[in-house]
Amino acid sequence: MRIYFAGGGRCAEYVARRLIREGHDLVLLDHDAGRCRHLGENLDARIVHGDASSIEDWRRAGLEDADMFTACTGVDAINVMACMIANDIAPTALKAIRLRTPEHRQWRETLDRLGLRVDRVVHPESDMVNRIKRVITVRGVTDIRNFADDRVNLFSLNLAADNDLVGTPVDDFPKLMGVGEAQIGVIFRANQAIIPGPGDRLAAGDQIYVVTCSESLNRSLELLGLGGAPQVRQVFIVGGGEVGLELARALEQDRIPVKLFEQDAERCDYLAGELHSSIVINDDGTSQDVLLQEGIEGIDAFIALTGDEDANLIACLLARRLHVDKVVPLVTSINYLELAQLLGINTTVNPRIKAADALFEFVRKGGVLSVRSLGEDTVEAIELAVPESSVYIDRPLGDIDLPAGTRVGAIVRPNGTVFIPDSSTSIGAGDRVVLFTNKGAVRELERKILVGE
Amino acid sequence: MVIKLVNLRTVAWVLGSMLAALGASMLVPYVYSLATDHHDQATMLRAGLTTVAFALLLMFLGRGREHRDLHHREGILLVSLIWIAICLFGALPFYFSSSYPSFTDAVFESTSGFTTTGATVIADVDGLSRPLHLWRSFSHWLGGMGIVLLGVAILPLLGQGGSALYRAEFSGAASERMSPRIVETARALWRLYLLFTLVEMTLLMLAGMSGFDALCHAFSTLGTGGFSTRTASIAGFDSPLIEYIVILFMFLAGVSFIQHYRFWIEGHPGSVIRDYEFRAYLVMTLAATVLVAAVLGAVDEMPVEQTLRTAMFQVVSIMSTTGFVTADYGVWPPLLQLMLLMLMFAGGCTGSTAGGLKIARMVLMLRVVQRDFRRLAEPQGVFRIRAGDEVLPELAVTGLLNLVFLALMLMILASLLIAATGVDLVTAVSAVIACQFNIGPGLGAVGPVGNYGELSEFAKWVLSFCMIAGRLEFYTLLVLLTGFFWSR
Repeated sequence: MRIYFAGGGRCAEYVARRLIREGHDLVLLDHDAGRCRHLGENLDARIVHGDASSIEDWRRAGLEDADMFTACTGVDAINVMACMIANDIAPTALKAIRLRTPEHRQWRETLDRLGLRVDRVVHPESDMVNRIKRVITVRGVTDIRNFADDRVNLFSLNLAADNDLVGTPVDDFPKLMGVGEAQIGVIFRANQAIIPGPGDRLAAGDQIYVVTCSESLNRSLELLGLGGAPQVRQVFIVGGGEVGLELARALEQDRIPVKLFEQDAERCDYLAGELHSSIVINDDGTSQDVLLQEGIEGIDAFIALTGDEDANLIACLLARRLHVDKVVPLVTSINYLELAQLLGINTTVNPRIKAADALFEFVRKGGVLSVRSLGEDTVEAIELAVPESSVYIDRPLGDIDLPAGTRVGAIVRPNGTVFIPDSSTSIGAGDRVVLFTNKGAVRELERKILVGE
Repeated sequence: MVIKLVNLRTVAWVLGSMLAALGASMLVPYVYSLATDHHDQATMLRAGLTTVAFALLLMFLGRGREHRDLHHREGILLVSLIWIAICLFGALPFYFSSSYPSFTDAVFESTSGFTTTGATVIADVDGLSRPLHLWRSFSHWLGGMGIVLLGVAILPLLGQGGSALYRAEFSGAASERMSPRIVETARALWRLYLLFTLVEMTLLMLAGMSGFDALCHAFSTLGTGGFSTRTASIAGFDSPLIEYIVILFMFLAGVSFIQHYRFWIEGHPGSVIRDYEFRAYLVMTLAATVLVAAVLGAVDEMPVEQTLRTAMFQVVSIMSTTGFVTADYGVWPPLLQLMLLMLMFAGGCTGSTAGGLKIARMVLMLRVVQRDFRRLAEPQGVFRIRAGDEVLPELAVTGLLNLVFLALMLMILASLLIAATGVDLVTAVSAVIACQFNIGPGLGAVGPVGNYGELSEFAKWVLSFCMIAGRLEFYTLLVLLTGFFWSR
């Protein structure tokens, strides 16, 4: 597929790298000459130096050949203009647009009404807010995601040495939890992602991802000694950007007390006007003195969302040391994800990966319904709709020759019932399946399931 | 130099047209006297003609085509001058009649009328002629409408410090539904005002008042004035039904006309019920009623219904700054007198005809204090003051506090001046409070059964100044006394 990118920022670069790996042809257009040089040196793609809001520049880039168009510059207005141009020059191309404004839903409707065919609006901030909120409000888990319209949940927890589960074979886990209700999808051990196979056992220090149907979520959490409605007494959010504000707003809805730290005094005035029960603190929330003075000890969650990822990480480590259970830093560079894992910070939010996931869902379109990158850049949880042509249909999972490092996590039947499969379960046409897979196997898996080769 | 700062021609022209309108409105009592008992007929005609003559003179001086738009300072100057001129010329009917001993008394009465205060210098109100009664009540009614327009449309345009409150009120989403043009807003509010007046008049007539009394009292109630046609005020009618009707309309007149507009014209009852100021007004009225009734019940042997009614009447009358009376609270226990004196500060809602500091300011001041406490606990915290959904700009918060401070300063200064004339302490302080917050009757010699007639001429001028200053939310009038206003 020939895919055009308006804007060659770091998000675009990250997505492009993954897409090139999967064999697509890419054209990136960026206005910054230095950035273009960098992209040219690092990506096997055509790089055009130009203005994303210029019709002439897009003609020069050959936009009329596009199969797919993605507007992901840093400026919403330019993205909208670029989409208008694409709509005109390449009317058949699929289009995705990255918006930063909190009004993204209204914009989607407005674009539709204007007849501007935009197939996907990517707004990673709102997804990030939802995810952080769930991590905060579910006791004991370090990460939680959802699939299939929230019918399937994926949550992660850390196994301490004294956990009863240590030493248990992975295949016995469903028996403990109730067969068909939960199983382990991925294990992170010593920073390696393992898609567990027969014979693997759980070890102390593992971070395990458990997949469960949403009806059993609470029961599963309970069996693991987690969950229940926790009394969240205090959450600190550092950084009053758009995500910080929206998160505070979302937590206010659940009557969770929030302290929001922001260094810019004018921004503080704005935030204090937007928020009601939250307390806005005009101070550096990454400084130990400030945090101690504001009473960080005993808080339930610490979320660092400043623009400075180093400061975010350091502040989260600090919070960890001060016995805060749940810490979530915003990390923007991919390289830091591994570091964060190593430092024992299991949940990170990354708008770039989130935007990339959304774009992948879109690029892979076909039957791929959703994609979630887990941990660092190596494992994906993907949700697929299985067509009738698939080779896997109506055969017990035990008999299927899945690509190496792939595990079927959950199956959603067309009537909405959810199974956590074992080796005797089989997939039917029209099912939606949630799979865990190493990134390398994605293409093969897609081909086998979706195309049926 | 002044001439360059302020376009005197335009000021004269506008002032002239306002006075012409005032002169024309004097025709109302004139026509009434023509049609009925011919009392004070010549008085009203003389006053009307004199006013119109002055008006024409001013308009002649201000003639010409170069009427440019009013600038900021001209606006402030005009608002003050209009009120002063109207109070002065509105005094002519009283002055030309034989009922008022001096020009000072006439001006005091007229100022009290147009500022909707309701303080009178007349001991025997029953003895006044009907055209004068009508003019007294009518001045309340005209003044009340002027206040609503002033508060809703004009002060926000001038952006005076304390009225940034209004601006905050009306810059929000809710106000966007109100018509954007002042003329349209004015028209809508006029109709509503007129409608309320007619409804109250009809109800009062049904309750047994004569048509004339009903009209005068409806005028006085809607303007939250307090002039009655009886010396004993509403008590003179001795009818519970009339008292309840008056309570209802005093309360309504103390509610912002913006809220009335939303409720009656646009049909948004929800937005009124959710309005923080209306809620506070309602809660404060009820709470004060219960408190006053409880104390009153403890000291007085009255039926429960009468106790409650009396308490409620007095509370609503003072909070809406009307100043009608049904009981001589001058003989109530000191605790109750003090409570009523405190209520005089509160006043009604912003954008109503009531005076006082206004409920919204009270609520917001409490929030400012609360914020300071929070700041002590959370030194780096950033807290904003909200008026409803609207976040108040910090400048408006300062303006709010300054206005209250200014009101207190004026109160202290004026009390000293009044006390210097030799009256007792309670009379001096309560007279100033009752006048600058536009209530009417105070305590002591100027209490519900007393009047302001015995005060010295000097005291009456001071109090007249207080009434206008309070009516114009202090800043507008007082800024004219500063050097800044007149310097480049």
